[in-house]
Amino acid sequence: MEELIYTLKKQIIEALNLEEVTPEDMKDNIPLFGGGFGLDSIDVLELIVLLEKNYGIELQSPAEAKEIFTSVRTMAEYVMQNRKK
Amino acid sequence: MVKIVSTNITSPIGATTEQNYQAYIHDVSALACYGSDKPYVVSLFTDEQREQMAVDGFSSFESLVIRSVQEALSHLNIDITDNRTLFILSTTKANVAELSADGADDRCYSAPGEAAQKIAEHLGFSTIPFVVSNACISGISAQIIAMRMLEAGMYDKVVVCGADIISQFMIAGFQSFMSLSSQPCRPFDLERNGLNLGEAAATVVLVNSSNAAGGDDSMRDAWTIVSGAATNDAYHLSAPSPMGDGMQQAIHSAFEGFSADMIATVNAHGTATMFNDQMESKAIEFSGLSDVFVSAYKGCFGHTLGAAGLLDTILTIRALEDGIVPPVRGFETKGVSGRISISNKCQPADKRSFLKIISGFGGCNAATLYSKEQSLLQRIPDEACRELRVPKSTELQVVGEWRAESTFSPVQVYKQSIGDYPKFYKMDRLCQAAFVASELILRDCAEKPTSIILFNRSSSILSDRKHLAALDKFGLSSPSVFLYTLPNIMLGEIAIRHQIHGESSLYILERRDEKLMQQVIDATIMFGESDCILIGWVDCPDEQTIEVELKILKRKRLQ
Repeated sequence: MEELIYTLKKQIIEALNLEEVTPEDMKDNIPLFGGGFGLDSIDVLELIVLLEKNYGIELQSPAEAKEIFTSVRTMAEYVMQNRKK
Repeated sequence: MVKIVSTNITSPIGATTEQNYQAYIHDVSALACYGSDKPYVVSLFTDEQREQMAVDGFSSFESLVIRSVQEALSHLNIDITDNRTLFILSTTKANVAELSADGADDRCYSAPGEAAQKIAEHLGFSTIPFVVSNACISGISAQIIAMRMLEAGMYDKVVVCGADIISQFMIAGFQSFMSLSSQPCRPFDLERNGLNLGEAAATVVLVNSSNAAGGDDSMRDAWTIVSGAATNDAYHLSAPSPMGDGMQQAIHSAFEGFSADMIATVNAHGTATMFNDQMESKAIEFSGLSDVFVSAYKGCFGHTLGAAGLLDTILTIRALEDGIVPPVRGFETKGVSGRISISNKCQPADKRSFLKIISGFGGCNAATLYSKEQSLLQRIPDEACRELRVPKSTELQVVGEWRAESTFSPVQVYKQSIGDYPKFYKMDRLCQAAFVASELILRDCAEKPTSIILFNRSSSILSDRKHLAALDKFGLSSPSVFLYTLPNIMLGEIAIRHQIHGESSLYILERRDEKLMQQVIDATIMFGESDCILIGWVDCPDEQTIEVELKILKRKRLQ
């Protein structure tokens, strides 16, 4: 789990071009959206693509993604349970 | 006054305006489902249609444009070879279907401006054309600039053609935005869940009736483009401002002096995405147009991108000639909160005037008013009475200027002297260049521009290739990469950062042509809403080259 969380952080930073953020800055439980990262609705879509590309998970709508993307930890939990690769 | 003297629509359901109108009325559509893994609905030309349209030596996009323009011109006996006739191409992605990720297989690719030049030469135009690329509103933007250039007396005739063909490039891009429906789309409906794309070209031939020789009967019978205005939400790159403030402002500017009871319909963009239709309903309500029937055609044609604004204009004119507001295909139960009148049945219409509204990525909105009603046209102040906005560029004062050195590195400048806009790192190179340059010029300028006009040559080719590379590698596109394949996004970024709510327009040229650029700027300043305007050239043809030159112009008030 901890390893997955770290990998996800790196993938999120890369996918969202969070140039000035390191995996260490990104605490496991702090909100990804509406928090300090300045993420918006396009970033939600970007994270949906990230899940499909890296874990074979296909979400159907941005609405569905809302809970999954609460924090890196919730995202990791979802990936653990649903990953296809 | 600017008159529409001939039109054409070329789509999978017809090669003339009449064929497309009849098909629409009889509920014919080419929308069909493709893609087994991720199904989507799109309106495509058949291979046979493509072969029939093909013009030797031209790509399928270029051939489509040529066919549409030729058909529109075939109804007229006019000379387009003189130096008073202009060709304007409206497109979001032009020849992008011919482009490859690594450039190895680009033999048939020409950049948008080059394509326009090739097409114009083939058709017989002798003046230099340009491309309007303002995402989904391009077809209306193109009509607005054409109207202004005609009214300014720069040309006597302008042929405006809008077109796009739909390749995997567009499909995957819109899929990454999760905005494609797997069913035929349902504008303004409760069950709407996204848009369908569609292929088409649409052409209008515009003439300045006061300059035209003759003033014959065909002119008296023609529709007039009464007014047009464009705005920017300065809110979000891909989502409209929820209450449609920018759209309301565009409607307000285009419709000032007129009233709801004068028009037969508000022809909406009606893409059938959640946000667009909701926003339009609010803008219509807040503009006092709740009792005017809404029309929208994407339930039949899909979203035809660069053609959309023109196709919508032409079809509405044809329908009102017939005395009807066409049904909204795909609509059943109202699913928007704005108060609007809408129906999936034909409505009788006795007025010969309508308002067209449209909005698109980059935060842009536009509205245009059309009429052939004497009572309405009489309200337009004639040119002699109109406050004459002097076109001479000597009346324009340069209040800010910035030019990139050959060593210009946007990232370096950002790090050294900006640093407070983390979204900077999400931008592509073209956008970064425009963003940093606009920061620098605006920081040192006391005047605040209210509009932006930019020109370039290479469109957004770096992001185009990046998007294609991701498709090749993963079969998936990144939404933010796709977003930057729309070159007008750089104007949206500047508009958001500096809260510039006026017009934002991007024009693509075959090469930097100062005279043509000056004409576009003069026409915009003469008839646009803005007294202070950010203009310039921003081009990134490859990873090494950046050309940026910006100016802030202010119109001197003549006392």
